[in-house]
Amino acid sequence: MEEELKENLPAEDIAMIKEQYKELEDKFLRLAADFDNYRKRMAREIEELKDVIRIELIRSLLPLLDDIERAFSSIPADRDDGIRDGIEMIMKNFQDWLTSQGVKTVEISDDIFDPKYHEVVVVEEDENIDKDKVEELRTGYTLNDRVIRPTMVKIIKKVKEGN
Amino acid sequence: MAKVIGIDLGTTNSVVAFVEGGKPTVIPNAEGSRLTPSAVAFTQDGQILVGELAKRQAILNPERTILSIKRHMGTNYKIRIDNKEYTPQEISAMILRKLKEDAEAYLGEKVEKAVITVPAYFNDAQRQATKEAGVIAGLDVMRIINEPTASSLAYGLDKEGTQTILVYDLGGGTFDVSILEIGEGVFEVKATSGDTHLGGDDYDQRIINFLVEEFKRKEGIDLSQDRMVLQRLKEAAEKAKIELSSLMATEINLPFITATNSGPKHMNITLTRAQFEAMTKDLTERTREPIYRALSDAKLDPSRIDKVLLVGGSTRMPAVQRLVKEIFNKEPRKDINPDECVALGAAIQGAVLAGEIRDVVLLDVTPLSLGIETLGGVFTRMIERNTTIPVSKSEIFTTAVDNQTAVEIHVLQGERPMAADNLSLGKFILDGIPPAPRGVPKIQVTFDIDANGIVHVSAKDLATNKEQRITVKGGTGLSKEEIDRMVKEAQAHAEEDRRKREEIEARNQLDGLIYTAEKLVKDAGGKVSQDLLDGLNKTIEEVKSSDKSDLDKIKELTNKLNDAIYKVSTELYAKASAQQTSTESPPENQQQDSNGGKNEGTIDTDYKVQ
Repeated sequence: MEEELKENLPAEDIAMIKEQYKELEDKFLRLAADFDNYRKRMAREIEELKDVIRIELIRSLLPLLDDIERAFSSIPADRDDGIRDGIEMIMKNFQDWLTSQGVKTVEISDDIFDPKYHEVVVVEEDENIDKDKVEELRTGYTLNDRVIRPTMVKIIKKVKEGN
Repeated sequence: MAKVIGIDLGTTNSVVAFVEGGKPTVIPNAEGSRLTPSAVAFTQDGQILVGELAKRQAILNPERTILSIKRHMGTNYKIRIDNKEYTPQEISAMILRKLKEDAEAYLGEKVEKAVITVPAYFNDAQRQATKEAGVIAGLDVMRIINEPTASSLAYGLDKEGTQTILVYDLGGGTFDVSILEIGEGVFEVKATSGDTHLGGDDYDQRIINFLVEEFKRKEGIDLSQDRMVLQRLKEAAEKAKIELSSLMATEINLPFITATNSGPKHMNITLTRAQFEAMTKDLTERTREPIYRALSDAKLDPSRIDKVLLVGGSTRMPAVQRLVKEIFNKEPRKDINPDECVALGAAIQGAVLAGEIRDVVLLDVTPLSLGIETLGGVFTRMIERNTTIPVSKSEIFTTAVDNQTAVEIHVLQGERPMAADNLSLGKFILDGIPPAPRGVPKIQVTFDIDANGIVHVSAKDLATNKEQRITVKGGTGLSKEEIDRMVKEAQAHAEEDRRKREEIEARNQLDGLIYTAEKLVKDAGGKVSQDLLDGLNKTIEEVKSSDKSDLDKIKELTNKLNDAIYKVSTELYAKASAQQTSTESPPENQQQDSNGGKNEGTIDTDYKVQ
């Protein structure tokens, strides 16, 4: 039966079928490869997504901690009716929770500004310093080396006298 | 073959996308964000920063930070850094290189080819400069396409025949309006207009100004001199603007915003959408004139525009959408993320040029769910709507009554939980099932939708391998309107349907329990006290003859019967263990047997076991 079919088909038809077969095979392999890559990337992305979701959530909570910290620092240090201590405990609970989630605070080392972790919002100049200073205005945080939010900093630039 | 990326090289932000399996997707950058600021910075120690990092150090290094370079494309403008001159295309290339590298990291392969978009009004020199920027970045720029064309491609408008469309693009810092004529895959720009300095940032600034003024009026304190406070206001303003796109009012609460000798001061200001729209009315209105200018240049009346596309993040604002709707008297298209639309369209163009779209097997989906009718007229879904085809799925069902020798397979399509509310596609009978107690036979029902959307349904008795099948041609051949109507109906009836289904399931469960109880009476005869058995019999009769039209009533009857069964089986077990001979099987768990048996002679019902 197959033999018969082959004999009856003109050569150009066979060539066309072969061509189509090649095309289809190529399409199939491409799709299979696309899918395989997709699968691998999805697996990787799901892993990363866990971090991304946590980062989003933590980022949206940070303004609350900022407010608590502001509240705390606005209470005079000599106030001793327990309010200051209470606020400090709330603040500490929050910070401990962040630590338990693997969140780290961004440090400024040696007054070196690093745009990967710091964002400048204020620049001032001073004649009476030895070198540029980087001051923290608002704490920055990272999770697994991903920046949740950069530390907001003020940079005090050393200027030469009479400049 | 290497992927082609599509790049929206914007004035304030840039986006990169690629096509995978025929669908365009945005590629997040190394910082995890889908938008990359179009900013470049040269640090004092010789590093080049691009994107978010460049922005973070901008005020420290203003003369070495370059923003909005797009405004200078195609001009002789030069940027001088450390005695070296850079052309706008060289700066743009740095942005493109970051996008390319981030795409490579994401895709895990080299990227060489790209399609880059430019505003429709860009002249030859500007387009040439953009292309050069691509080449400097190591990209083979397959084509430079117009941003509104890319948006139209993202919306698939090239496949819809000849039409005139208007693209309203309000981004972070620029406003563009373009009128295009699309026909036979050809895009012709009929007119362009816009405002090069209008965008979302202006709206934020209005909110900041309002907050500063309100605070000054209430507290007499000027916040505008404190950079740190301004930063907080900026964040709060942007948040408020976004919230007001979906809420009618938002509260701006910034505790400890500042302090005076009398103590800390807090900001607590409510901003309504109406207030926000009033304070930004002139900004929104500024887009009106360019629209009319473009229409007049194209010699078109607003009614001649077939479709309006909203592009750019700022078009999320309801006031903007209202203005467009008012001018054109029609609902604008805004279903594709307006920040990403242009890049997605560029990626589609890239895939078309690479021959990838043509090569992709176009996959269809089932527009409605498919399934069969089961006990009590319930619609049991086998294939959920929006499943990509070809697809095949099998489930095992069983009989509903003892010695049932035939089952009817009623194939339906729709989203309602009750079979009667859905569309019947056909039915067939599988007979010759060997007589057996209900729940014992295993009938495998298989749905198969081939690549042409033709549905094949078969039912096979696994004991005898006897099989029947049906083929539904055009089973998914409903018009889009009919499908939409069915989906909407399902949503509208969701609550009522849920109650109806719950009631039927409860009744099925009760029927199953009656069966269990009757079996128990037979099995326990002579093994427990006659009083108990009489009591159970009486309860069975009572339950059978009761009105079962109300869910609460059904539940009550179920509890009552359960109690009666429980009493009998407890005694049965107690006696059995006392005699230490446990030859009797326990009563069947009625939870598992949610079936009934009052359908003698009929061959309709089967129920789901697995």
